[in-house]
Amino acid sequence: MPSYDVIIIGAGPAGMHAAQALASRGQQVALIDDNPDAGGQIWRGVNNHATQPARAALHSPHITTYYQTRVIATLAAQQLLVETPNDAHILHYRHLVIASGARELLLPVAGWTTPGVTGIGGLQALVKAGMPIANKRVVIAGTGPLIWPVAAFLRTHGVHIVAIVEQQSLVRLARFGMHLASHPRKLWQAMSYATQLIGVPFWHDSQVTAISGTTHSTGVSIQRGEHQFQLACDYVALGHHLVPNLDIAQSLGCATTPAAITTSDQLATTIPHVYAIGEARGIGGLDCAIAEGHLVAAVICQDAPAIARWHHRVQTERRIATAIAATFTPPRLPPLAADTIVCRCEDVSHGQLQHAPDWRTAKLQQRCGMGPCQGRICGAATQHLYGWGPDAVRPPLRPARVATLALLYAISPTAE
Amino acid sequence: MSQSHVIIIGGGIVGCACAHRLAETGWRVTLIERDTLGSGATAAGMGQVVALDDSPAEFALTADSQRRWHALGQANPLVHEYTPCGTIWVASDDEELAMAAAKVPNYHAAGLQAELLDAAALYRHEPNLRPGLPGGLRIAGDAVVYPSRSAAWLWQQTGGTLIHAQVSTIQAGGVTLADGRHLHADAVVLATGSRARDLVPALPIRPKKGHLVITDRYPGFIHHQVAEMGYVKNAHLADVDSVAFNVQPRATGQILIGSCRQYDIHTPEVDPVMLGQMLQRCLEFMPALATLSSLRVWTGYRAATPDGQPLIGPHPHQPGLWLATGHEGLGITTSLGTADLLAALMNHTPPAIDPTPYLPSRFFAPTSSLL
Repeated sequence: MPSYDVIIIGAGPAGMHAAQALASRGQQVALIDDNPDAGGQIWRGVNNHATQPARAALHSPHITTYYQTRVIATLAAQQLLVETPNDAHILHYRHLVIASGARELLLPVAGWTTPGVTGIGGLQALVKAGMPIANKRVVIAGTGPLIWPVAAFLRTHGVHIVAIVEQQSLVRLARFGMHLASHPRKLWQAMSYATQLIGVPFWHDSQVTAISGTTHSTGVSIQRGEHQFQLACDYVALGHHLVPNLDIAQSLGCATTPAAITTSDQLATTIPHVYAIGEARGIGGLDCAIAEGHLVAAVICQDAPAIARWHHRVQTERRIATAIAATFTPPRLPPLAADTIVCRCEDVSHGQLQHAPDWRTAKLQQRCGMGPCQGRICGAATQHLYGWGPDAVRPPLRPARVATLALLYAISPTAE
Repeated sequence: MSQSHVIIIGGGIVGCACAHRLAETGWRVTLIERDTLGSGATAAGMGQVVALDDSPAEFALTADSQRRWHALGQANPLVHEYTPCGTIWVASDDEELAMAAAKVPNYHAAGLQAELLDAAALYRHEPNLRPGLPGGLRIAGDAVVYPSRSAAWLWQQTGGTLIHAQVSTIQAGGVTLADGRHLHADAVVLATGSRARDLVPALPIRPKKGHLVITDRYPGFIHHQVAEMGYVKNAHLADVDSVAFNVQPRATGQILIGSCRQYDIHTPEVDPVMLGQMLQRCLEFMPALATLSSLRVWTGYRAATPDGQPLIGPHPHQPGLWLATGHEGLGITTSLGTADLLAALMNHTPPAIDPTPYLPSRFFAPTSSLL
């Protein structure tokens, strides 16, 4: 069984920097990511001066990268079952770093299952994967700091951004802007997005209430106060901020809140040998993730001066996380029509769910959350809409080949 | 005339079926369920409707129930997702094929369809089985259903009162709930599956844990419920941990993969080694399963009795208490036959089949006061 000093789950900015910093101290590191390359959901395939050196450093002989690899189960005795495109492995670790990042919260609105409607990050991923988008008309709507870099990214790919529709108030956004002013690099970043987005209509205090189109999206209805507007477009990118990916931590038994994996200020979770960094520790952005990557390496290697240095940096960067959380609060949703689909895997509508007493009844009687996404999309939506709690986390953490799970017959209950 | 009132404890498929049948025969019914209807083992099981001839008692109840499911399913196939796919019992060697051949007359004598398959016929029906198998037995009248929804549907037909609560004790003339309320009834039916001993500790019921896997949608990958002939030998009777190949096509195109049995495990967590052993067994029979995407794994508890037959009938020492539990892995199938039998006993009407093998009194010594 392959064994590593440290296994890092997630090759986004936090995971990459942790890998680089651990390898430079001589640790044998495995870096696991579901995607075909390092960089994370936002920065993968983007030339970014902040992440480029760490990406280059992944070629270290101390680092084994497992791309297109999913963690399927966390096992006893510090073992993980992982699946690659053609194979599966059981890996052993001395220390585990969870840098599992975040995913977009995607909430239902009338017409959201129409082809042409995607998540904001989802549209960016499609474009990175080669979807032709030049000269298409796109509306970006929802809430969260993700809107701006993705809008800028899309514009550089020749997209005609019809409008950015942000549901937060201008006052609240301005307060967030003031906060950025004390982080010069972030202010610079924000201004560079603003520059790239000059001329794009920005609708604050507004939300998309319906998406029109049958075989493909053709437009959106926008509500601003008492007023309704219609805009024609080819694509709609929707997102309601980010939610951290907690399931691997929960599978290990780590304490979590809905917003983060619970950690000490030295990044230790409540389970021995397991650490959490980056967005999984609470949405904090790129610089925070990088600092925590460095800090976790220093903590694992007990490098006291580096711990002191990076700890201070993390404290500073985490202040922006607080501001993000205060600004981009959970979204309000327009009242849903009974025929609006909530669980798109199993085609379950709001009308079928609104009178169900709980998530379990909805699953058993309506199959809500029982499809391939396993409630990763509709689970968050039903939490928002109906206040239903999430399920206990069980393996497989992601869909896995039967042969992968069959490999478990041979695992040892104790470390070798 | 005032109706007699029965309280049924447990809203799984057995409790709901009993409520349905008792309401049909004139009882006023109250159902008490601690979770949601059709949860527990009802939700955790495969939803199989199978006629099994491994003992006369098992055969009588499963054959009777298979017919009842056919009538119910044909009348309302969408509710129950009734899919009359049949079962193929796969023989792994000539000895098992001879066993299969010997079963055919039994089924025919009971008026059920049964067909011995040679190797060619076996692969014509199920090409994804591994090469080299000698044949099997096809029971065309078997089916699969979606039992959680069936349970809720059976209950909805009764017009009875549903109470979401936990029962703390059963006493003569009714029950007491955990919140202190007393409910009165002329009769109480205990249908809480593997948890029956929480309320009647002396019952000979042991929980037998199982794991199941469900895949993404692969319509046409299998056409029947397909299980190894050794299933009963490996699964029902063994007193040790066991695994057996058993796969089932769902109405959605998904495949359910089982099965395994573990005694006296009380934690619901997925046991990775057991799961791995179960899937290895399935891959031996059906290697093409290897690349299918499994979405979800869960566990549940069957209510096992020492002789493998359920407990249906009066509690021998507690007047007014009736039992409908201990259905092991066959509770979905036998729920309808159980309900009919229990109602006949409670109504003093002639039962459709001989109730003797299922009477709870078989496990109890006569009380000294009666001697």
